[in-house]
Amino acid sequence: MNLDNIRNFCIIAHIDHGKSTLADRLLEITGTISSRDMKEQVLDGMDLERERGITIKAQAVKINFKAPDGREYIFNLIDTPGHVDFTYEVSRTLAACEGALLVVDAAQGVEAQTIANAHLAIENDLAIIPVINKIDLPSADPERVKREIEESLGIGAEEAILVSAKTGKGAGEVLEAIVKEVPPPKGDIGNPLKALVFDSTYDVYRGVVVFVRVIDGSIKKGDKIKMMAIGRTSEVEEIGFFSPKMTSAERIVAGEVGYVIAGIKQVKEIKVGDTITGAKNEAIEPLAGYKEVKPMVFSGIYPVDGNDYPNLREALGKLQLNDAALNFEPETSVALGFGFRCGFLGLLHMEIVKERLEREYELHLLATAPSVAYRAIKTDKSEAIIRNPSDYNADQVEKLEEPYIAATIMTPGEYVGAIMKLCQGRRGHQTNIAYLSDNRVQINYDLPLAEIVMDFYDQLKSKTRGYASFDYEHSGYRSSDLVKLDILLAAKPVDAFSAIVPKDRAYDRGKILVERLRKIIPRQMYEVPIQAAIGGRIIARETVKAKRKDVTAKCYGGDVSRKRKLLEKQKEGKKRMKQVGQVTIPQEAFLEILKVEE
Amino acid sequence: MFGLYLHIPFCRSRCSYCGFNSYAGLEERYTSYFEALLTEIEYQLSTEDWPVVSSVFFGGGNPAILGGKRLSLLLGALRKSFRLSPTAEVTTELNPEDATPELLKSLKSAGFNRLSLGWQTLNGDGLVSLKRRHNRQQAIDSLTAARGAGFDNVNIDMIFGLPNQTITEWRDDLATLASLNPDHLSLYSLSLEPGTELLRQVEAGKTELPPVDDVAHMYEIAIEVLRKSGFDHYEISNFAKDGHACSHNLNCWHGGEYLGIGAGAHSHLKGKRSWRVNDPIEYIVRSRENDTIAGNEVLDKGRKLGERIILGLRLCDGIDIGELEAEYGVNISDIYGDAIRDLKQKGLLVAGSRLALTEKGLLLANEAMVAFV
Repeated sequence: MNLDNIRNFCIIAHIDHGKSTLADRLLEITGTISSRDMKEQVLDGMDLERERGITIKAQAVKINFKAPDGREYIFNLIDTPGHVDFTYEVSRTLAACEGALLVVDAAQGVEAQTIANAHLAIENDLAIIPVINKIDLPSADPERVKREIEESLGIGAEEAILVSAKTGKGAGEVLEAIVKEVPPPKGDIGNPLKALVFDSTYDVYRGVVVFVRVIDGSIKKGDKIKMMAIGRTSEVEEIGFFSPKMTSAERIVAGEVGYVIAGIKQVKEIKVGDTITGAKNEAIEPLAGYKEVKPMVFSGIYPVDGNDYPNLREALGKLQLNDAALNFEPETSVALGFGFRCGFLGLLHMEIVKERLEREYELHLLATAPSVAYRAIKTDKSEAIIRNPSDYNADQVEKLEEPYIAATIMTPGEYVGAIMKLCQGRRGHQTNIAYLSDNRVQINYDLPLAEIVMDFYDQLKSKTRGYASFDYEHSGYRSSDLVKLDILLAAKPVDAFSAIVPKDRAYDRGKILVERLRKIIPRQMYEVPIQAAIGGRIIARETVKAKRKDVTAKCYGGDVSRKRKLLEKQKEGKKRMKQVGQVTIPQEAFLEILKVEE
Repeated sequence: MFGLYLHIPFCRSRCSYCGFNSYAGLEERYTSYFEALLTEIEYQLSTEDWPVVSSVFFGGGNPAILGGKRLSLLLGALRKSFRLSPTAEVTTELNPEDATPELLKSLKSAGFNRLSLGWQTLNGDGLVSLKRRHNRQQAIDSLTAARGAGFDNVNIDMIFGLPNQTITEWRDDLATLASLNPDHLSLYSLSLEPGTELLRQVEAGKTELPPVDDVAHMYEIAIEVLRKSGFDHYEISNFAKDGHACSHNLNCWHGGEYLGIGAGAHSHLKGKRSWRVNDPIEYIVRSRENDTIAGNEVLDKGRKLGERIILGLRLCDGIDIGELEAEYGVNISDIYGDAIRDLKQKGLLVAGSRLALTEKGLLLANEAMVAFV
């Protein structure tokens, strides 16, 4: 196939703006899939994506398209993961394309994710085709949305294609625009092999299926290949395309998109962004843009019932088979016993993993407050990464740094004040504010990641009645004045309650925490002092008074059974609490630590 | 020991705190319910060879609502179906507004020898907030009337921890009680029962209960005051003078057998606990078929032992460990050794030849009992 007849593109959109529905229409009108099979969205909808977890996320579908002028084209539609946690994966997917459809909801307009993904596409030099979807909605306002696209992204939107993916209106124009606007791939089939790994998935029977875009050269069954970043070599067992089912092929060549199966057993043995080359005829330079993805958010995950520890270990191991970004190592907490410190790409990733563990493996879990990875520069100039606040020891640490993010928030104008207040309360620094249209404002903030891992998103949604959207990218480490806040129960520190907090907020945070814990921790046989401390100095104290009275009046009319059942209930309630030394702590207490009030 | 309990589930009106099986507004059912009780009592004659009855207790609701004549007939029917010991304790509950000389006289001549008067509080505001139908003076007069009718074994039911009740008011109540010299006192700490008006009021923020620490203190004060006045504190909630401990309730706490008759009445017979249907109308209908049992449970030996300990711990002198071990053929410390050590260490329990709650343990009885369920 002539490279001039190939078009590689993706669709980028905010959640629910119609990415999957549009993809379905394109597959349907090109006959890639019969309408009989079109009952469900072929590319992942958000729910399905959540159902499937996070790694079975991108798909690449080969579409044959006969243009009105009679020429035949091959389109490779590559799906992108839909969330901020996977920015890096999105950028690698974009790097496998020459063009992108930028889909924006005709009623909702530009949202935070639209902007974040569009910027990634611009950085990757993609041709961008603005598509305004859902024009069949009564509240559709394509002219306003065009202005928003131009204002926020600097992309000419006058020619934006008006589409109703639901009815199919405008889908034909989209296909023609892909031919016209998206440049054909460049590349030289005669050069040594260079193929970009943009995703992978795990198949129980075949092992890891690697998704690639061949940039130069070609690849066929039996080839010895090498992953340039990892340095691993293996033999190609099968190659092929998705149309949309996996269909094996003789070879794939420069400009094409497909899959490779090469005896790889775990997804962590393959890195997204890596370059595949020939083991014998090696390329000199790998493709640009590869980086090692590091987890940014950490949480201790513990079984409520200590006997479930081996089950939790097994479940995490199984999830990791298909989720290269998940990492975990054993951790022991004085308060919670044996568990694992797990690293995640971000909050969604953490939620998905926890939900899958609980749902698919039927585990009852207790997760500690999420923490970020702090970087400690010691007096001897060595560095240490602190993933668990209880590991932090201020001695010998010269400087403590924390990860920052660059956040984009899109909001109707009336909520600007509330958002600014929220971000300032979270140590945010405003970098930009732009009024895109009468009622659409883009605000950019630099924020410490630690400030958003708690309940930032919930707060943002509640303060804007759900209208604001939010996206972010990591922007490196910055030095901050931070201290470790410890919580002591009955004079003993409870490691699961420790947190690293800004020094100037430590006092207030400590005071709020001990007050809240006093309300949650039930009265016990002994008086329980609850203290907040910084480096051994107590900054706040509350006391849970000793329980004085717990007695039931009498067995009315000889109803002993009822009395016994009440006691049984009381005993069950006790079992659901964590015993830490002499103190019984209800599970809510561990969750309460997550909430930060303004 | 073998007790009989008879339940009369009717009241003229509901008290705000009451979560018992009792109904107001069913006046037209009194006669048929009375007849149902008679049917059920007569039916027992044919069922088995009952042991000698050591106590009879008429409770409610308000038994007096049926009138002295019917209560006398019911007691007479019991005498026909069962063998009452000549020394049997025969109690009926009685509200002050019903304690007329006529009624008291008829109860006395029918053979009732013990009264349990439902005073609940001596504070006028307290009586109003509980929606009782009597006032302070009627309460005091009811004791005088009982004495006048020849009752020399009278209990008074009191509640503490009432809405807005202060420690001073409670002390006043206790001083008055001591001076009136009843033979027995039952002091209950107010608990908010599901479905009661009081619970709704508290949840709606319209009524406030005293702080739990104050209520605990009220209990401690009661123990102190009543001991000084010559009462024997023999059970968590009960105080008696001169050997007037309630033998009907003692039997229950000792794990003894009893037969309950009437709507919602509980029985404990041959190791099985059973209960009858709560609804008086359903009870009336089902009594015709001798089919009033709503449910039952039989505990395995281990849980039965735990239940015995729980019940026994309600008594201030606790449980005779040796006796219990002999009865169950086990070694208590093999089974509960850790729990007992823990509770001793917490200061809730003393364990020698007997197992008993400490004074602190009385207030935290549930905390200790949980270890044995």
